Amino acid sequence: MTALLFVLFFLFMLLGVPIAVSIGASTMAALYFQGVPLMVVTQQMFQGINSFALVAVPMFILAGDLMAQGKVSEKLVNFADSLFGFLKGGLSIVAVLAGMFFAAISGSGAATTAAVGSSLVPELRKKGYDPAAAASLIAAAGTIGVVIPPSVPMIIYAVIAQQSVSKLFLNGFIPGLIMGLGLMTIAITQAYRRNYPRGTALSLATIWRTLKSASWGLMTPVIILGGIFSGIFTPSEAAVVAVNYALLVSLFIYRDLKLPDIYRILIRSAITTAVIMFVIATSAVLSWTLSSWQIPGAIAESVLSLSTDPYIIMLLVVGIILLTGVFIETASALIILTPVLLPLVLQLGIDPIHFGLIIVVGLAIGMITPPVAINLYVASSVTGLPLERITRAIVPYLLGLITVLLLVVYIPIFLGISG
Amino acid sequence: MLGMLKRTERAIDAIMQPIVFAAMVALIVVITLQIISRVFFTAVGWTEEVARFLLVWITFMAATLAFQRGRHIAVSFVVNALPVRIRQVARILAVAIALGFMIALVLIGYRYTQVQSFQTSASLGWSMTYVYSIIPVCGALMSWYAFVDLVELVAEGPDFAETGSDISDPPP
Repeated sequence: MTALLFVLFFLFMLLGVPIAVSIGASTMAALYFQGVPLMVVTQQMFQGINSFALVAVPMFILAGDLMAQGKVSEKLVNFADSLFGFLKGGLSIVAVLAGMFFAAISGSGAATTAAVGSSLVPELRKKGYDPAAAASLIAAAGTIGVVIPPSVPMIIYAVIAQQSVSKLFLNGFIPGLIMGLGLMTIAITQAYRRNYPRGTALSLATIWRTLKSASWGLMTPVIILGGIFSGIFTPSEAAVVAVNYALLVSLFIYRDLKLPDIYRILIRSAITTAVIMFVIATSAVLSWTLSSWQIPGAIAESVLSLSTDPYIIMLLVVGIILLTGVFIETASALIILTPVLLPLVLQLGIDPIHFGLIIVVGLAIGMITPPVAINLYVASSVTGLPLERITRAIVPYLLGLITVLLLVVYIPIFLGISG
Repeated sequence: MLGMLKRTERAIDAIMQPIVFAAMVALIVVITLQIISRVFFTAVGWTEEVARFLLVWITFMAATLAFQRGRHIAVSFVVNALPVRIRQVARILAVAIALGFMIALVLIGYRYTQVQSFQTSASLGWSMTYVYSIIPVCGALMSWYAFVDLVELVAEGPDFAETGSDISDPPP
């Protein structure tokens, strides 16, 4: 029955059936042949999404969309430029830093890439930066969007793995910071090789002026994360606070969005949400079925019969995560992989929060590995460059981020702080 | 004939959009209310339940919008690499599978609302029949969209109806 389920699932998926339907239809077929009453399908679909923690998903998507469409990203870029623009190749550092700022507002990689890309690409062009390299750097910096909190994938992981969203958020800062520093290092090396120009001179007056005008955007993470970590709000409530704040700023302070824009953005965010949530719904039926057949335990057991060395097994796990990220979009990959891999890594003594960071960083890297690479698509549509050129330029950044992922996996194991 | 079918799709979509918008606004308002009442007054119990149900409703209703726009995530690069004739067969099969799943969802979902009719929600005492009914209703809408896609694919060839896209966010 397990074989039937997986054969149908892969067959449907390769035929181009939406992943949510591929999961639902293959599971339903297997349950039907097993003689299980099919009402479990609707029951589990409902249970899978009837969760208050998941309310944070549409709200963080909406807050990010509202901020990305308005002037907030432009002001963040200006502030980052006043800090580091004076360095050789400084705009590359600005791209990464602005990505990190925006990551603290938005929970999605695509929104981060779009926000930084649309405000920085014209400037990069003007200063004579190689456009493909700049676009790929912005796409790579966009991956930080889901690592520095808030993060939609972290919320989804937390719900599936029954972990605390706040704890995952709190532990996302350091990996996000290392990703940013890694990308900056690579970008600076390239800047010296290509002899990129210096930008605006360093001036305290400019820093103060841009800081003041960016302060509405910079306040967002203070409100969201401060609210969550001080225990005033739950993450779902904080997401709604962020939405209200973004609406207030864009309607009354920057006045960059009008009511028709708000209508359009709300519908767009609802669609993005539904696409993710519908996969969560049908996957809930799949995980119910697999665990009733005791499959995840069996997989863990057979892998551990090969080796119980956490260094080797984690290398295998990282390989599976990266490979899945090449072919499948982040949220779906997360929903499919977590129930299967989590029992395995728990038996190795890996902390579930630590594994959450590993899988989120690993799948974030999947956002820049084609054919399924959302950040490259966004970077391509923002710059108008063909996907192939951006893809060739992504290689050094990709290698840098994989190095960071291995650090995120092995340093806590080496130090013995993982579980 | 096909033109008329496409018009029904657009008409349904035009009705669903404002409902989804209203549900999103309601979600924001309900949780804002929850925060305000807890921080400044006393916590109210029903907001969390309403928020959960709104999330379920938004998921199914906006899933119909996503279905109509071909936005559900699918692995399309394999099918796109196939020669035209085989591609058409693959697309037709894919839409037929989606149609089958949606019809099953309507039938099972309807039975589920009937079986659960005695059940009421924990905090507001709403009949769960109404809450669950979103599943067969939206399943029916998506069945209709899939049916129109099927007709379109057979009539016009493989490159007209989109079954899905590789990525979750539409480019801005």
